[in-house]
Amino acid sequence: MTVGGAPVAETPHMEAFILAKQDQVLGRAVTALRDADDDALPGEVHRLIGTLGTYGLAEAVALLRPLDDLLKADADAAAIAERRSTTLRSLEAVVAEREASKS
Amino acid sequence: MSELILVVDDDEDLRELVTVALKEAGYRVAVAADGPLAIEAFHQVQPDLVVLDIGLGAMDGLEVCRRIRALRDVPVLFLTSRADEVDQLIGFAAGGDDYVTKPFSARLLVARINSLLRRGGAGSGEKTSFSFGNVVVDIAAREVRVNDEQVDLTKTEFDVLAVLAQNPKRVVPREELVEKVWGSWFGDDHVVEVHLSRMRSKIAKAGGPRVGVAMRGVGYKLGVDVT
Repeated sequence: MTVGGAPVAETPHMEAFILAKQDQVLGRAVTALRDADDDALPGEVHRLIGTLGTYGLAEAVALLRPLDDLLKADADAAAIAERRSTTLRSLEAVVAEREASKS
Repeated sequence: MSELILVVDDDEDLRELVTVALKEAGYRVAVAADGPLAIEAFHQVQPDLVVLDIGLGAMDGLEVCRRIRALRDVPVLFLTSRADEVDQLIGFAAGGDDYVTKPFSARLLVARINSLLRRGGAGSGEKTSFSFGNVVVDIAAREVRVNDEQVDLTKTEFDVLAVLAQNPKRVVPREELVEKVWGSWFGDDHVVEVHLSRMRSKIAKAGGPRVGVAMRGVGYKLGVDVT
C-alpha cells in the first residue's frame, strides 16, 4: 500500500484484520456492482474503489478503474453496460481464483 | 479515559477498518453511517475528533462539518476520494483540519489523528504573541486578530501561521513546516498549499496583509515584518 508514493506498512494486527476481511469485501463489491441501479452506479463504483484499495485489493481496483473513467466521462449507456458486465465477470473470476487457491 | 473519535462514513467496511485501527491505537470509537446520524451522534457522544467522509449522500461531509463546527470547535479529519473533492475542501469556508485520500493506510490515518489531537493541547513558555501591521497572532490563546477583530482559522491554518510568525526573518523549509504542523507522518504535498491558501485568504478578507509566501522549491516565509 502506498500513500503519496511512499510505502506505508500496517501494524501486524491490522494486516491480519485486512487479510481476514478481503474475501468478504470482494464479495460485497461483486454484489454491489451486480445489483446497483444505473443511477447509483457512479457513486457505488467510486465508493468501491476507495474501499477495495484501502483493503489492499489493488487488482480489483485496477479492474474497476476503466468503468469509473467511463462513468465520469458520461459515456453512452451501451458502452457503460458492456464495461460493467466485463468488470463484473472479471471481479467474479478474482473471487473464484481466491477460493480455488485455498482448496 | 482515552479520547473518543466519531467515524462518519457510508461504507460499512471502511467504518469497520477505521474502528479496528483506532481501537488498536487506544481510542474509543463511535460510528455513524450518514450525515443526520453523524449530527445526532455528535450531540450524544461529544467526540474529541471527527473522521468525516465527504461523499456521504444527501447531507455531505462538508455540510456535516459546518453543522458540528457551529456547535463546537472539534478537530475534523476529512476522508476524500477524488481530486475534485480536494478542490472542494480548498474552497470550503468552514474548513477541516486535515484530510486523507482514499485508498489510505490505517497506520497513516492513526498517525494523522494522533497529530491533530496532540496539536490541540499544545503550549510553550516562549514568546506567545506576534504582531505584523494590523495583525496580532496570540499563540497561547490561539487567536488571530485583524484590526482587533478575531479571524476564525481552523487549527491547522492557525498552526501554519504560527510557525511562520515565529520565524519571521527566514524561509521555513517545507519539511520543517510539515514536521511542526503535521508531525512526521505526511504524504501529500497539496495539503500545505490548501491550508496556507485558506489561511492567507481569511487574513486578507479580514483586511490584513498577504501572508504566507511560497518560495518555490525552498519553503515558505511570512512575508511581512513582525514586531
